Amino acid sequence: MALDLEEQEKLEELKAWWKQNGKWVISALVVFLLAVAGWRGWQTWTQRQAVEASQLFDRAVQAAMLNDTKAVKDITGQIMENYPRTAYATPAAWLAGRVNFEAGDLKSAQAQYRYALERARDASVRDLARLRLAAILLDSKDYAGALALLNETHGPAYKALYANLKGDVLIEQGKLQEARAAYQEALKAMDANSALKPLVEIKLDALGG
Amino acid sequence: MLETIRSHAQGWIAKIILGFIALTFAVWGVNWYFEGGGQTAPAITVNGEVVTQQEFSDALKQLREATDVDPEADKALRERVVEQLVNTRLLTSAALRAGMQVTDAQVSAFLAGIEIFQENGQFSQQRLDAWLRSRGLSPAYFMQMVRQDLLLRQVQTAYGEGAIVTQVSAARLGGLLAQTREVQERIFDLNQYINSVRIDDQAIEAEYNAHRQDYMTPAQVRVQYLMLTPDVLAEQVKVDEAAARQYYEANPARFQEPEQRRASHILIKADASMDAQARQAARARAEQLLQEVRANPGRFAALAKQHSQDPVSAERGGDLGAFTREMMVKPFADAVFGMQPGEIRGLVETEFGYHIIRLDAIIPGSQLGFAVVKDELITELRQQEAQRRFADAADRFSNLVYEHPESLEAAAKELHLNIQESGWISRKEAQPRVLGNPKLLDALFSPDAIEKRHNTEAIEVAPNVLVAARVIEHRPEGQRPLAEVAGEIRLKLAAKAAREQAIAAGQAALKAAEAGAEPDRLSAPISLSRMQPINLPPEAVKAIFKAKVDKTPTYVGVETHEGYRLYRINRVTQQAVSPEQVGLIRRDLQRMVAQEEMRAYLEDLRSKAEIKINKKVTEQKAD
Repeated sequence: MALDLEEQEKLEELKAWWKQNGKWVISALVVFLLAVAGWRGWQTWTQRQAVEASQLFDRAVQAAMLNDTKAVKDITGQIMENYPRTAYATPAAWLAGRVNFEAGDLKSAQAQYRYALERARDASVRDLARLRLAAILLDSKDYAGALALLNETHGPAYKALYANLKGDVLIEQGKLQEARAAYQEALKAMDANSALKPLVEIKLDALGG
Repeated sequence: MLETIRSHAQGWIAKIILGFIALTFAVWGVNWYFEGGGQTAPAITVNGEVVTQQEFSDALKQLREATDVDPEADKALRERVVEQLVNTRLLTSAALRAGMQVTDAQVSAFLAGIEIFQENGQFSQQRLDAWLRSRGLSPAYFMQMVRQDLLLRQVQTAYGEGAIVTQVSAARLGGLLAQTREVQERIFDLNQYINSVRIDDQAIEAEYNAHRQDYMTPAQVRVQYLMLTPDVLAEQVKVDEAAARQYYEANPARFQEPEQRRASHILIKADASMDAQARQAARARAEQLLQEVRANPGRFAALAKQHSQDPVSAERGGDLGAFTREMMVKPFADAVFGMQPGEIRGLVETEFGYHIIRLDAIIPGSQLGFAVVKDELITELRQQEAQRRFADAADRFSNLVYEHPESLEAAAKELHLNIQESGWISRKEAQPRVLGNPKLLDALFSPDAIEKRHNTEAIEVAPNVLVAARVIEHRPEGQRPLAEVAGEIRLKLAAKAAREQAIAAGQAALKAAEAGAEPDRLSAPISLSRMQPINLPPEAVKAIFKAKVDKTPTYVGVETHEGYRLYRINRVTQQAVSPEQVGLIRRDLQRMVAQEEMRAYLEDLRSKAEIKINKKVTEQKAD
């Protein structure tokens, strides 16, 4: 019987404790479960976003191959609007921008290349995005804007491409000596096997080498 | 270097899949997913990811088979393989890190588009399974490889498709390429001076002593060798007419010429680029034509001539000639091969638009007679049999040359091969080409082969070509005596001195011309542009277009391999560049820029990655 009593006492104690703290335990548990569910949900959501954007992007590329510009614009528009956080936002904007650029719509192209730059996440892709936007600005005769982009710091791997385009901009501005220096820099940085190399040489030779 | 993939042709996709396994093995290696290649030191690690030696040698083997390798280039080849493997790893992990994904649906869609997995234009799981079985690949593994490859392609497209070249840059470059300069030329050729040059013996001896290593003979050997190939075996295989006939009778389908049909059609175009409204209009027009045809079938040809939008057949009253089922797109073929002669059917819709079709004739398929195919069949069966025997023969061959190291007789006798003898060969020059294999040359110039005169092991010098060889005569490396090379040296020195004189004369002439003295013996005027350099040496073209032309005439001179060339630039003309030409230049440039950007992107990735390359894989010669 004594044992029973002891057990009884323990049980009472437990009950009392529960009465006092049970609420907190349950709330903590609920919060934990919600957090886990939220995390899982977030993961599933980003995963689904990536998968959907990937399929859309493939379709946009296909449409571009078939020269179906309307479809390219529609599909890339969907990606930019509905999947701006995925890795496909920047490439989609480039694709749309290039199609517009080739159709002579510089204004839309510029907007899309700007979006691409804003959405580009890692430094290397940003370097690419800046270079390409600068090219659009050159054709839009915004020489100062183009030079400002080309003068921003960029990875050493991009040096040749940046300097080459800089030369093209400076020539348009009539700054021949500076253009010459830019082409010389481009040649120095360029890979020996690059197909662009002889063309940069031709541009440089025209300025007296 | 990886190139941006921007080709669209169906042929390209087919090539990808046929070369696919090759490519993927080359690029990924077998152990990428099924780890376990960890016993040996890794060949390469990229950010901690391992490329095993097995993967490396598979990739190397692929590339060796794909390119005709000259043994000297082996090191370069190894470096190329390393670069490819590294680039692939870098690009893939960058894509995954950025959050790119390729789904099962995309993999299936890709496979469905590949012709060899189709039956009657539809994807066939059986075909895919059979193809996988024939290559001993598990479906899951294959799907994973395709997925990796698609991811790689997607990241290249994603970053490559946005490359642009400005109108301004293309137009300016076009202008430079089209600029024409008219010049007159005088060549100062070293041959005009060589007879007046005297080279004394002392100079020859000095040159000989200064560059002794240029006057060596390499180590050389003469060898006996045996070559085993399926072709050699095929000569020994007998296939008689009875066996050929048996095969012929057992496989009637192979010798069946397919049925052909002749049809005419009227096409109203409606392709994917048209919007719904235009398609609707096309359909209505086609319906109307169909009614006219039905009302008056005799006017089919006239209506086709007048209305069909397939210009080639329209000319001939819609007649398409005879064709087999495979030659037409599926909906069209299905219709034609379900019709009776004289029947008119419409509207049949294909990717080209709406067709009204009349079947004109059925040309039944026929069986090719045995007499027609006999010779070809016998050759084929012999080759098959030889191929079948080759694996066993190769084993036996390897064993025999190894077990009887003192001569090739045993292997030659048992396998009925001819022992052949080569002339003198060195590591640099080995004829015939089969002896030029680096592994074989290493074996031939090893002490075992030269001192003990032992057979080399049987070496696969090319796919299915086994060679074993044995040194029969050896000449060590040596210094050529001065007397033997003096003539050679005299000529070399004389040419060098004569070229210097030619250059000096040319430079003097340039100076005189610039001071106002018209040079003599100038050629007739030549007009050249960067695009049409008229056979002038590249350094001369460069000098001509680099010259300042504020005033003409002006002079420019350039050293060339034969001496010196002096140019009088008479005038500069700027040719007009049409918008089409600018467009073409822009397209070419865009491809180059895309390639250059991808190169830069990869270089950037590489500079941030930790890459370890096992020295053994780039240096080791035999493996």
